[in-house]
Amino acid sequence: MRHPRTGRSLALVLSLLAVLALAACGTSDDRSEGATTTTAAKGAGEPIVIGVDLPLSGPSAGAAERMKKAFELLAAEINANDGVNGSEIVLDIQDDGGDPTTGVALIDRFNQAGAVAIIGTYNTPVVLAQSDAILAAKIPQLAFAIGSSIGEKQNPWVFQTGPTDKGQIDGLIEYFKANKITKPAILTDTSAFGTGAKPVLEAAFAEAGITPALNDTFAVDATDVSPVLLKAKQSGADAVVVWTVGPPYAVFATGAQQVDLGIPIFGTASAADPNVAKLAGAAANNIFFQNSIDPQKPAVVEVSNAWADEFDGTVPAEAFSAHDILTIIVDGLKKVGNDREALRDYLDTYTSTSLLAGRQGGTFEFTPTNHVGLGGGNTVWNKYVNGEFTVITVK
Amino acid sequence: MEQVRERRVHGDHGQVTELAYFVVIGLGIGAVYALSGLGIVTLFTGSGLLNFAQGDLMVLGALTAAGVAGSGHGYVAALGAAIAVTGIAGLLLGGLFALPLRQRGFDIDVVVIGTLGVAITMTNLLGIWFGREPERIESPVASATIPIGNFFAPMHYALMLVGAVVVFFGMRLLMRRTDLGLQLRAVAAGVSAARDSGVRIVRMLIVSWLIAAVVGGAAGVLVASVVPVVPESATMLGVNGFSAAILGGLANPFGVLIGGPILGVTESLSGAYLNETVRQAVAPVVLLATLLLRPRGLFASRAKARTV
Repeated sequence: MRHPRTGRSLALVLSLLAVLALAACGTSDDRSEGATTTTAAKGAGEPIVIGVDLPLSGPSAGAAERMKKAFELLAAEINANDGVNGSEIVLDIQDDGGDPTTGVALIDRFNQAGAVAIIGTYNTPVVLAQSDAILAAKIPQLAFAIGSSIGEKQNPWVFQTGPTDKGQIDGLIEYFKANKITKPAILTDTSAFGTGAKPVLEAAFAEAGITPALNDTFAVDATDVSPVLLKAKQSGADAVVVWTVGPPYAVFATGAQQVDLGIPIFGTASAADPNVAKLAGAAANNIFFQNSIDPQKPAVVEVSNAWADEFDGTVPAEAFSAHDILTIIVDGLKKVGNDREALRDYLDTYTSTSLLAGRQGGTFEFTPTNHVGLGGGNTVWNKYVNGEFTVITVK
Repeated sequence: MEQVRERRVHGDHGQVTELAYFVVIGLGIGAVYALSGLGIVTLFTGSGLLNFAQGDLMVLGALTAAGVAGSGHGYVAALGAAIAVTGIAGLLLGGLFALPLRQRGFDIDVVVIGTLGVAITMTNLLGIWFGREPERIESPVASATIPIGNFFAPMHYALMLVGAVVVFFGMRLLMRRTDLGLQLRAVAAGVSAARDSGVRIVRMLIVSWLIAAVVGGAAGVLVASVVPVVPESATMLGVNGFSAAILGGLANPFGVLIGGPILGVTESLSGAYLNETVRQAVAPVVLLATLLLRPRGLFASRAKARTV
């Protein structure tokens, strides 16, 4: 059975796989393509196309799927109520796989499809790569990637819902100062999400006079993170800042039990991912994070109920984000019509106190010089208690 | 004061218990690799074929079990369902690759490359069928831990090691003590000679796929209690399994049983005493180094003498 060429073929293929695995160390970009177009009830006028760019494959696929469901649900509701100005909304939902090249190609696709606005995406490197194409196509883009480097490009067509990494870090520093936390350990994941935030964290902490007891990294797909947590514990840190996306927080929760960590873990807003509680249960009790959603807002309760009627499980944060993004665009379309430039000008001065994101009474606001809608101070602190997160009062 | 106290606690004795803890954690991670690698070695020793979709078979088993366990059935029922589903998948894959050989002759390269295509297809199909949300299966020993000084290693790691040993001895028994095992070894040793001896080649190839898939399914269920599994986990499980199998020797199940833990402990100690970059590089570097320096694996001489 063993063919003389088998050894060579095997060595070739395995070497290729090993090189790919090595190359993947420190990154988590996957790419694949897929397409979903959502339409609902017909309106009187021409359909209004909105491009939606999501990483429906790759590491962020779970969250992207939840957001896709939310957009589809909301678009169906809008169209069932005569759409916008008598026209139906058509969501052109596309998968960028977390890949910047695919993301740039999608801008051209949305442009050719006549999209009046583009929603997305999650990954900062993709949004940054799309910036020039967006500028050339002149399509307003509402991104929910959190990299503050997006705002630094000052692209007049790109808006971020926020809070950005810088916004969340500012909130973290405020909390640390109020609670006498002076020596946090910083642990960032080795994906683009973590590596992008690492210099922002370091600069912000240095500016605030906080010297980290440890500054280390971890892989998002690590089976066990107890080595790095033990380093944090032995460094004399009084808290651990873990910068990653969603499910790895569950691995940190169990790792904290394994090394008897004894100090709190502070995560990003994505620690609200329902998978954290599902995977870690009560072990997640030591995790704190800032959430852009205040569950006590009546509008939040309303959207929660609509989601629960349609889908099983806990309402994900993505459902709320999707609601806000589509609300902003639809409000704009109703006010200024289907013109891209007019919509961009509308967004430039958009202000709202009725969106789901933000504290009660907080304001979501874009200005010509600030394209981040939700500032860092406009979030709500949460903590996991018995496998569920709950709002906590902070000093 | 806190730091001083920590230093006292972590004196020489503390360093020893810390080292012991990381070795135990490494053995647990190594058990994941060994379980991944055993499926690959099982097919290789039974047919001489390599399967790059082994990680996907593990994920199929894990996600099937998670679905069954999530609907209120117990761990054993979930394991049974995983074995049944992956067994069917193994039969289908076996038929896909073995039956055309009857008409067109045998080209092992086509099969090896074909399994890469199957791997990509399976990952996408698993995403469509099961979704992209990570799943974890509650271990029957979920609340139990192994205390090591001030540390607590999950008891499930021990269960995975036991699982890997059970799979190894099960395969050894099958290959050495049964007529079926004899025929499988004959096919792996050479198709022409096996055919001349009256062995039904296609049937044996399908049986090999079936066994490898079932081993993968059971391994996937065990692994899913410590690793949140998504369809894309197949790549990580597959690469680590290959690393363990290549290190131990592709034709040597005992080798993978040792190679997996060696990899796991090396990774664990690298993460603990060096840094994360080194830890992540361990598996691919070991794979490359073994292919270049000792292509038959660490246990080459024994592999020549016996397959199981």
